[in-house]
Amino acid sequence: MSQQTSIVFIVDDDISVRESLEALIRHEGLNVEAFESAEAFLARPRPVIPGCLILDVFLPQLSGLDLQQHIAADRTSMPIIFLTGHGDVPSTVRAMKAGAAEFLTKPFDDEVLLAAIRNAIARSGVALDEEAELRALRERFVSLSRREREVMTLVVRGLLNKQVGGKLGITEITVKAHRGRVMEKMHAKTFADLVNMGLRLSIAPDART
Amino acid sequence: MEIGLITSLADALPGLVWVALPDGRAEFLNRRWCDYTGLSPQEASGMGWQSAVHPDDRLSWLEYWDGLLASRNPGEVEARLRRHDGQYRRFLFSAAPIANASGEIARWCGINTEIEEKLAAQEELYARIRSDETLRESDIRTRAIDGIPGFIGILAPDGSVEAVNRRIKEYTGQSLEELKNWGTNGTIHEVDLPHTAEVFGQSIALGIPHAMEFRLRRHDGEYRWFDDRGVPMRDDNGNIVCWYVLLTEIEIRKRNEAELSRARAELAHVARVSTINMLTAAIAHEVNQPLTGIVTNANTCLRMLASDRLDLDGARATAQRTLRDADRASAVVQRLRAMFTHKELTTETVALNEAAREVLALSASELQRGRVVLQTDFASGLPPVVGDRVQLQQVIMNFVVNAADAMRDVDDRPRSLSIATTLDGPEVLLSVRDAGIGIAPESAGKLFEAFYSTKGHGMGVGLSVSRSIIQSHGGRIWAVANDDCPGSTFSFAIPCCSPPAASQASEG
Repeated sequence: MSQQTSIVFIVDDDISVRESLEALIRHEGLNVEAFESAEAFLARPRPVIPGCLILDVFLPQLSGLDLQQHIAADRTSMPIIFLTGHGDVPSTVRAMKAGAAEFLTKPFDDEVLLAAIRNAIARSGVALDEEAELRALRERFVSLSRREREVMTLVVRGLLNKQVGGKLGITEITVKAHRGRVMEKMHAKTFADLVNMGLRLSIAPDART
Repeated sequence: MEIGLITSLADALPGLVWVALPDGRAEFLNRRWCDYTGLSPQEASGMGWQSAVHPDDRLSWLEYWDGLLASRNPGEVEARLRRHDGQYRRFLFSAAPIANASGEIARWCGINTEIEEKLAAQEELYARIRSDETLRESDIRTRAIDGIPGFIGILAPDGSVEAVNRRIKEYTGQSLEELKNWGTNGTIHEVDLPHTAEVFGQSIALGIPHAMEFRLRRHDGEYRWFDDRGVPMRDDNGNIVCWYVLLTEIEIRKRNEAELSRARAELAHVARVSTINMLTAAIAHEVNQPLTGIVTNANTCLRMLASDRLDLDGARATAQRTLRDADRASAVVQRLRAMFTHKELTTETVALNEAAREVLALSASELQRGRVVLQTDFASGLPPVVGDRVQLQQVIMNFVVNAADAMRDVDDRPRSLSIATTLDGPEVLLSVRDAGIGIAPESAGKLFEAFYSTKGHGMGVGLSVSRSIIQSHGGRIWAVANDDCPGSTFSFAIPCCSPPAASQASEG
C-alpha cells in the first residue's frame, strides 16, 4: 500500500497539538487532514483509501469516545489512535474495548506515534481489501438466479444433491447443473471455496443446524 | 381595811406589788419589790423606783406608763428590772387604775411578774422548732428533687455535695456519702476529670454558673456523657446559700456529634483532596497541551534538520510554533498565579470581637475535647474593620486550631489558650496565645510559607492562606515565641475603618 494513497486524519480542538501533529506527519510524507471538532470531521465525505484517525479523548460537545462509537459500525477500515492529556483509566478501557488501535498520553514520543500510524494504515489497507473482496462477493451472489441462490444456500449448508433436489422438487441432475453454474459465477475453484464464501456472506451453515 | 392590814397583805403577796398616785409617783412598794431590787422603800418611792429599770428599756417604759396614765386603762409592758445582785431579768409590768366613788382615778396599782425563765424556755423551744423546720425543709427539698425526672444535685456554698436525687443514686449506684467524693472515686472519667475540676473549681470560687460536659460512671461501670449545669442560689444579701446542679445525659447526642465531626473531617479532607485534584488536573491540562505541542514541534524540527530530508522552511515554522506554545504555557502559569493572589473580597464592616466569639462557639467542643482552658480578653468599644467576615474568621479559626494542636502533647502545665483584641493606634489587633511547644527561631520566618508545616499531619496551607487573607485586608500577620512562658502567640493587625472616638460616640 503506497503512502501517497493513504490519509491520516487528526481531530483535536487544541491548536498547539493539532498543528504540531500535522507538521510531524506531513514531514513523514503522509497525507494529513486536521479538524477542530468531531462534527467537522463527520461532515467530510468518507475516503476510500487506507487511513487512520488520531483522536483527542476530550473534545468539546461530541467527545472522542462518542465519535468512535459513531463511526465504529461503518468505518471498520479506519483504526483510531487516541490521545489523552493524562492517564484516564476508565476512558482508556472504554476506548480499547470499542476497538481503539492505540492509546497515547500527551506529550507522546514521536517514534511511538509514527509507528502506531504506520501500523494503523497497514491494518486499514488490509481491512479495505477485505471490504472490497466482500463487496465483490456480494455482487457475484446477487448476480445468481433465484434457483441458483437456493441451490447454493442449501449445498453450503452440507445437504447432498439428492436432498437438495428433494427439498426444491427438482431432479438430482438439475441440481448438479445449477451447482456447476454457481461455482462458475462465484469464481469458486473448489467446493471448499464455495463453503467459505457462504460463511462470509452469512448464508453459511451454523454447525448445529 | 386598815392600812396595816393592807400593807401586811401586800407584803405577803408572792409578787412585786406597788401602788402609785394618779400622777405616776410610787406611793407604796411591797417588801418583795424592795428585797428583789435591793432598793429601800425610801429610795424607791416617788420616781426613785425607775433606777431599777434597765436603762435601755427606761424611756420606752416611761412613754408607755405616761400613755397608760392618760388613757386610764389597765395595761402591761415588758421591761428588764435589776435584781439586787445587779443582774437584769425580764419582767411583765401589769398596771390597773383604782377609781374612787365619784369615778376619778384615786390610785394605780400593779404587779411585776418575772418572765425571764418562761421566755428563755420559750426561746429555746422556738429555736428547736426552727431547727426542726430547717430539717423538715431539707427533707422536703430532697423529696421534691427525688420526684424530678432528671439528675439533680444540691451543693453547699463551698461546692460539697449536700443532696442528690434518687435518679443520681440509681444511675451511679452510689450513696450520698460516696458521691461526696466524686472528685477522687472515679465517678467522672479520668480523662475529663482535670478539665471538670478546673471549670467546677473556678465556678465555685467565683460564684458564677458553670456548664460543662463529662463522662459519668454508671452503676455497671460504663461511662456515659453528661451535660452539667450549676447555678448558685443567693439570699437577699447576695450570699450563696447553695448550688443547684442539673445533669443531663447526652450520650446519644455526643455520639452523633462524634459521627458528625468525623464526617465533617472526612468531608474537609475529601474537599481538600478533591480541590487539589481538580486544580492539579486543570493545571496539568492547561500546561500539558502547549507542552505537547512544544515536544512534538521540537522532534519535528530535528527531523526536518536531519541531513537526508533537510527542510529549513519547515524547521523555521516549527520553531516559531514552539515559541508560540511556550508563550501560551507561560500565560497559563501567570493566569493561575493571578487567580490565587487577587481573589475578590466581599467587603462589609466586621466587628472582630463578635467574629471571634462565633469562631470560639464553633470550636468550643473541639477545645474541650483537647482539654484546652480558654480565656478571652476582648477590648470593649473596639471599632469595626472593613473586610470579608468569613475570611477573617478563617484566619482566627486557623490560629485557634493551631494553638490547640500545639498543646496536644502538653501535660505538665495547663493547656491555656487566650484570645485577645486591642486597639493599637489606627489598627485593630487580635492575638491568640498558647502554652504549646512553641516555635523554633529558625522556623519563625518560614511559618507563613505555603506547604511549610512543623506538624506531622499538617498540610502547611493554613498559615500561608491566612497571610494572604490578612494582606488582602491591608494588614500584617506575625508570630512570636512567648518570652515569659512556653508557647507562642500568633497575631494579626488590620486597619480599622473609623477613628475609635467616633465609633464609640456612635455606639453610645
